[in-house]
Amino acid sequence: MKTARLFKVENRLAEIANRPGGRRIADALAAAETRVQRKHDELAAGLPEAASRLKALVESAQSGPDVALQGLYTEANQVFALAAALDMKALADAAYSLCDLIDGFRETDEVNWQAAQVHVDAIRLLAQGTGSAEADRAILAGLKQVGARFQKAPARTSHLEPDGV
Amino acid sequence: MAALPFSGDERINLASAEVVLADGHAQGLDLLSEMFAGFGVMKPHRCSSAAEIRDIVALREINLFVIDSALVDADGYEFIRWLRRSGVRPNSVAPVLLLTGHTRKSDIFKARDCGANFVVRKPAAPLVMLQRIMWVSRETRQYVESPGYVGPDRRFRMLGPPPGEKGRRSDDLSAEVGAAKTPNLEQDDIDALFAPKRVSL
Repeated sequence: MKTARLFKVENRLAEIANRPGGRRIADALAAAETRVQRKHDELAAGLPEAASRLKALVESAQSGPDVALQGLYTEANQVFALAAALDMKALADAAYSLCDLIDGFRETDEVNWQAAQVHVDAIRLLAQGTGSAEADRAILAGLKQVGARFQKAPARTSHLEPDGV
Repeated sequence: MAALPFSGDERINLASAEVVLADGHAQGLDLLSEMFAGFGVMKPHRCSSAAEIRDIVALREINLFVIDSALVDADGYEFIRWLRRSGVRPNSVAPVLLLTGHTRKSDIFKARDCGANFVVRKPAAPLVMLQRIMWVSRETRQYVESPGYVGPDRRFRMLGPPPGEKGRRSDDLSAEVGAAKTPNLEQDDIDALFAPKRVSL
């Protein structure tokens, strides 16, 4: 294969999706939202456990190889994804901030474990629920300050805009 | 529900679509499965690893892949790159939606260059997901096979090569028009082209 070759492909998905029958778009969306909502409690119950895994990971990562840092990033990313899907904004933002932090560490090859530990503690607290929006805001403001010390790019306020890329 | 970017009366039939849903985390996979069940996909192929997806690719004709960037044994980008180059038709040219959580700019470029059709950033709301499914089902982009890239044409709009650069493809036109090779038409000649004429049939 030396040069670029362009070719058309048959779009089988289009042929199937346009077959007679199926669901009205509005009904499909409503059904999907209802089904996702039904999983809310079950998934939210697993978040404190995921936050505890972060604690174990941050402790082992301090004495472990770089791969442990990747494990911490993956787990934080998962907490973000779940919390965001469940509309737990403060928890999602805290997990996203930890991802940003680890990303910055990987770029500079310098790790500040205290900063990571502060994030993990905050995530555990938020996963259990502070019960107060004021307390959530204070925690996030603290994380933002910690993050700002290690990030090159300015931190965003929230990562929960409901759009795809 | 938010205002729909398409008519709510439009219909979509995914009952017989063969869809692969892949996420390295069980809860993420559960969420995806619920969402797609709502869309009418009742029996998706649920996978947590690239190895599982490869097995399905070898056996079934897949119409849509929804792949998370984090799989158990590989990252989603790596799998998509493999799929596009696998030569397993028609799966290698099937539409692929890539899901990302924490999304760096470099991840978007990676997704584009591994051959994904679209990137969906989490949280992937049902509205956004269904919209992307409809986009890929209306996809008209051609596919490209080249030494450095295999996947849907990364150019969404045909704007030609960047100014001052020669296009790399045989159908790229030059931005320079060049000097006329024949005399300009007179206005009478132009008018004559538009004037009605008697024809004999």
